[in-house]
Amino acid sequence: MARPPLSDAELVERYGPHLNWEPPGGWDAGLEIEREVDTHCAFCGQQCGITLKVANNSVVGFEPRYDFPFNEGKLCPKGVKRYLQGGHPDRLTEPLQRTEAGFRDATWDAVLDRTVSEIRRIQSEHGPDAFGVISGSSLTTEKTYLMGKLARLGIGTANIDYNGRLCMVSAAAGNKKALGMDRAPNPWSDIPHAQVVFVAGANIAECAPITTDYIWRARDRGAKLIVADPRVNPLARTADCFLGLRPGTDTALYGAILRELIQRDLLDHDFIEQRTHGIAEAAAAVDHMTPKWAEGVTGVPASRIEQAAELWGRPATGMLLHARGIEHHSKGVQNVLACINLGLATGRYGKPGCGVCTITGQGNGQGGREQGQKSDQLPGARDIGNPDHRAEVAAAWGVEPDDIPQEGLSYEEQFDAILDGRIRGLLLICSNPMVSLPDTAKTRAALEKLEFFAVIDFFLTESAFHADVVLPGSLHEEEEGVVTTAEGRCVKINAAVSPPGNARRDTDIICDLGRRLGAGQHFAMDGPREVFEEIRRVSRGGVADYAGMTWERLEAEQGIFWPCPTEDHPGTPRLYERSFAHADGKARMLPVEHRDPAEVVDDEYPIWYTTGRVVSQYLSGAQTRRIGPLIEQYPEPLCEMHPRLASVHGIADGDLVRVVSRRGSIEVPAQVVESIRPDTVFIPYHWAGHKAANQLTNPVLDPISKIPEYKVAAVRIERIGPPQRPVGQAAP
Amino acid sequence: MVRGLLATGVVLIMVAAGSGWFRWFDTALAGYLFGVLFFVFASVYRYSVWLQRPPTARLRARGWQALRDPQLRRGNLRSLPSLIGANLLAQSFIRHRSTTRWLAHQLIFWGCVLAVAVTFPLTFGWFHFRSVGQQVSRYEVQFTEIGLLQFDIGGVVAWMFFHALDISAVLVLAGVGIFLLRRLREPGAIATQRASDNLALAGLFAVSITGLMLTVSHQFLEGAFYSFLNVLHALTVVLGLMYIPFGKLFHIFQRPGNLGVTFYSRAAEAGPGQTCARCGQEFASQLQMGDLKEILPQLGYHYETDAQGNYQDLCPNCRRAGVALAQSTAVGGFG
Amino acid sequence: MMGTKLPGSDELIFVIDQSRCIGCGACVTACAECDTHKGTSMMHLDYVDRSQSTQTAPMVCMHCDDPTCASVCPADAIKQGDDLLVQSADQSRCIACSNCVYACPFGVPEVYPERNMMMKCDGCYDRRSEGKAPMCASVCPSEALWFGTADEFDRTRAGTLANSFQFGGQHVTTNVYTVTHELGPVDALLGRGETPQAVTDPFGLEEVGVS
Repeated sequence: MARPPLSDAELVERYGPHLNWEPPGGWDAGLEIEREVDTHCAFCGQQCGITLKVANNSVVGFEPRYDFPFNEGKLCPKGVKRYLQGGHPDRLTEPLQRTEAGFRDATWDAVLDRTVSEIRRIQSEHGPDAFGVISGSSLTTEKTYLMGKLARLGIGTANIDYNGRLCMVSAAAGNKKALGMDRAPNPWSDIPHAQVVFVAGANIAECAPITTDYIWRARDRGAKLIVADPRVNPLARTADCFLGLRPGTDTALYGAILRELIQRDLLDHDFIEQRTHGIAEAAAAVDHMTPKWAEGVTGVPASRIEQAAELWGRPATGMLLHARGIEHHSKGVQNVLACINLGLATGRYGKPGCGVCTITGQGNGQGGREQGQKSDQLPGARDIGNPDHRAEVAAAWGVEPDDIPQEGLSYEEQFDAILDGRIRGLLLICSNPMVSLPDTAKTRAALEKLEFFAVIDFFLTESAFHADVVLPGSLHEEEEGVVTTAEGRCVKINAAVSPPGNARRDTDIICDLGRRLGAGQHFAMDGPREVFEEIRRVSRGGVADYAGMTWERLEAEQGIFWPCPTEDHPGTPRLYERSFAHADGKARMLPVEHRDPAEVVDDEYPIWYTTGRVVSQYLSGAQTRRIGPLIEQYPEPLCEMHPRLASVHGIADGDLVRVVSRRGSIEVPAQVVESIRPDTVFIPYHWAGHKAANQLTNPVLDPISKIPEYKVAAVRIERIGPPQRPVGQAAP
Repeated sequence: MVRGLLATGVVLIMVAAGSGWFRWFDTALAGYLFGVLFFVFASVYRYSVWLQRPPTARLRARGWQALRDPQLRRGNLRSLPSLIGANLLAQSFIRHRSTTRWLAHQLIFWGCVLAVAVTFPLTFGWFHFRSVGQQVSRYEVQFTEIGLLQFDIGGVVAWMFFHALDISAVLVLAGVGIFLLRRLREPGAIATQRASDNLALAGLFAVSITGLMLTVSHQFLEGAFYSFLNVLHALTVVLGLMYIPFGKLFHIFQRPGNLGVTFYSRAAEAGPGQTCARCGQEFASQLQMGDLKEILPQLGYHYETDAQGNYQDLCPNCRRAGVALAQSTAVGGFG
Repeated sequence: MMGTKLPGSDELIFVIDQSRCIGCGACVTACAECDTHKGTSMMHLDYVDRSQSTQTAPMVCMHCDDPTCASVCPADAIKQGDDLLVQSADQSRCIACSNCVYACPFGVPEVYPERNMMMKCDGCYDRRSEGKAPMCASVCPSEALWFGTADEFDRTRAGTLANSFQFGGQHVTTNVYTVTHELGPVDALLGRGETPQAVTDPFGLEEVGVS
């Protein structure tokens, strides 16, 4: 039973999150900078270039990295303060074993051998798939590749998945269905050339701040801006057309716009005819979606829907950027397909200034799903169910295709399986489900039910509180490797320092585990460079083909866009210039019906609930909740609500309110603002325990992508009373 | 100018009176005396010019007025010793800026105080040493004709007297060293240093090192180069004194103004507050805002608005917000 | 136009375009990393009125040609360098009287009572003297804060550079530029009474009939 050995308060007291404010030794330490290391930010899928300053094997500061073309020195506050995770007092430097009295230091032999023996015990008692593996997308691609290989060839379980499942898999599935490949079709350098930019469910200012400038550059050239969001986020504030839709009604909105494009004949008929299938079916599905009907469903005025169709359809070029706002739904794939249809109908593919792109959220959001840690994929973004793909990977690995397990359970499904006893043990790296999975009570129950729980991490996260053994791994700046950015650009991460104390590089831990599991021949690599060379070999001929990349090329060329099949291939910044990735070279316009979200408001829970991020925090906050200046910027979750809603409940700005869903409740201060729909409340999700916004969310999944519906639930709100303490200043 | 001359005259008279009409005046120190006289003249001149600037004059008037304010006087006077202690002597505010800078400044400050306490009275002829009776080894410190203290030439007191300036030089050099190290090592200090900073440090260094060399020459080199060093030292001291009123070290005379600021702000807080014309929040005192609105036109600034009164009635927050609103309105929402 | 001077085409200029700001706070955090005022940010960033809008107001020192802050300083502590940058308070002189805080029309200087001194943006002259761009303009994701040549600005950005402002009866010219649509002073009272929302009724509540 993986229950925390001490109370949460005691664990927090010992392991944090504590706040780090200053570089090691304080501001006046007068440290001599020994070297400056060009690398990338640890946070978010844009992977901005950054230069880290190093003194005494510690990262002590940063300098803008002007030479990296994506961001040219620009950073968000997370990037600026990222260096404060190094030299942090909470940093794990010794392996830990849980005892009844708390966590105790242990030797590497003890924790690794215990992990191996528990894996084998559970598998012998309950079958090979009774041990699950959850990995993450903030890891370098080398680590993600190793995790997939460890699960399938080392542990021998089908059940490996990763936290990209909670991020953008709806976009991945939608792109594969419609276009045949899962990657942003156009590089960001195309954005300034777009004559219209449509931001659909993406809070770019807070979640991908650097992308702002690309959009502003387009506006400088006269582009129009359309934003669809339940909140008037900082980009929406000045948009030419703001579509303030009700959560969970995206397919009605995009369907109605498609219908308007057809009605007004704003279609690229040549493109549709020559390069797509399915226009008739797609058109039929939206035939009933008049602007007036859509107004009733979405709450967006019909005139704005018509205006959006005009703004999107008229110009020769246009880009649509979407993110979690349309993807975190039980119909996330449908939402993405509806957006892709808007792009296909107007011929916005394979040309400059065009494209329908997802903005991946995690550090290696794109690369983390390409090389084999996704439950349904093998390295090279190959399908695990495709016999040819299986054979290719098996040959590269030197095993029989049957030695590779079939598709396993997705992230949330593994937690269902833990609760019903199909999975008994879990290995977790680079993820914090106690914050990031929907329905926190369910997540806690699942972790507590585990017979054995091993965690590889650099901080003791709220999830690791439950661990039997904790293996201290490496930070972003402690190990070399590559990541692939939101654009599909593979870039080189450089190590600035080495892991402190007895912490080890993640690749060394994973390979050590593989060897102790008796799969030494598959884990003989010495360090990440050898792992990368293996990825090149194994991905050769796959979809995400890295064969032509070398670490040296990645550095010299400031990253390479895959596919890059040979060493003289320049990479592929823009996809689909001649054909789409389906066998017949054509894209599919798929019919998208509208349906309600899984949970809708009713008399008992009359208010829509949606969640998201703030600019100063990254995902589950495991790293950023430990950085003083970032917490200072937005100290605690607030519940955004419109003054009309607030006045109905007698709530004033700063009052403590209780928000209740069918799954749980949360008490947070209210932030009364006109920038949110009057029928919707919003809480950011980066916090843990009683501050976790996911205590309320619905664990229902999209049937195709298996993404949870973080963006829509039904809640009620109650005023508890006046502010209990000075409310966290939400001002930036 | 007049005040400068007057002050110089006063000092001269005090020197004359204190030295028994130059009876005890050490003519070897005449050069120093001229340095001091020039220093006094220039400082007083510079100080009075400074005080005539409208904001300075207003602050000075307000400071004294606030100190004497019947309701605040008692508290003001009671806190005066601790204010002087903390702000002028311990200089704790520098510690809040940086501990190393505070340490360096304290070393230089106390070194200089010690040096001034020893040298000025000697230069003025106020103090002199006299042997007691026929005893070769016993001396007495005299203020004019009054004996203050007797001591043995080989004793600790004697050592302290004869080496007071060496001690102060060591203190100053240590402080200068710390400052120099900062200026060599810390990128921030390197970037912001100005020529005047280094000039002040160079002056302090020159005075201290030439003074110490005198002791070295006398104690260890049997007086070699003594007269040369003597002239050199005198030169550095005199130049240093002349530099003080015009350089960075003029802050020595400005800093006490901070006490006036303290009393001024107490008086201001006791009075009514100024609320912002946009947000309604109190952001300053009416006293200080009233003073500013009077001073600004004297300085040639006209922030008056026709309808709204005065732009200065906005709090700093609302000024920033107002400029942003004005700019985004001017570009129609987005530039 | 009164007081508006155009920069030379290859002159490096600092530009602030508040309308582009997304309030991310990168400038605030980055400024605190500067060697000259470690751990303390000189950057201002406020919501214009969060209850109404997400609009934010970033502000750097505008480096006035004739700085009001320096004129009202009783201690002569604020100096203008040869580079026309208005320096932060001379630490040895500043007596923390707050006159500059209350007189600056842009609301820039701030007094730190414990340190007994005023500190403000000094235009990153430490970085600029080494040929580097100011920290805030280096990191700003929206280019609301921008540093480059006037020529580059004209080639890549919309709008007109302006460096003069009107505050009631006071005309102020600055060495930091802002962006507007026409030459001539930006009237600081222009936005008075404007709601900080580019779109009134962003959700179209009137039109869809939500009361």
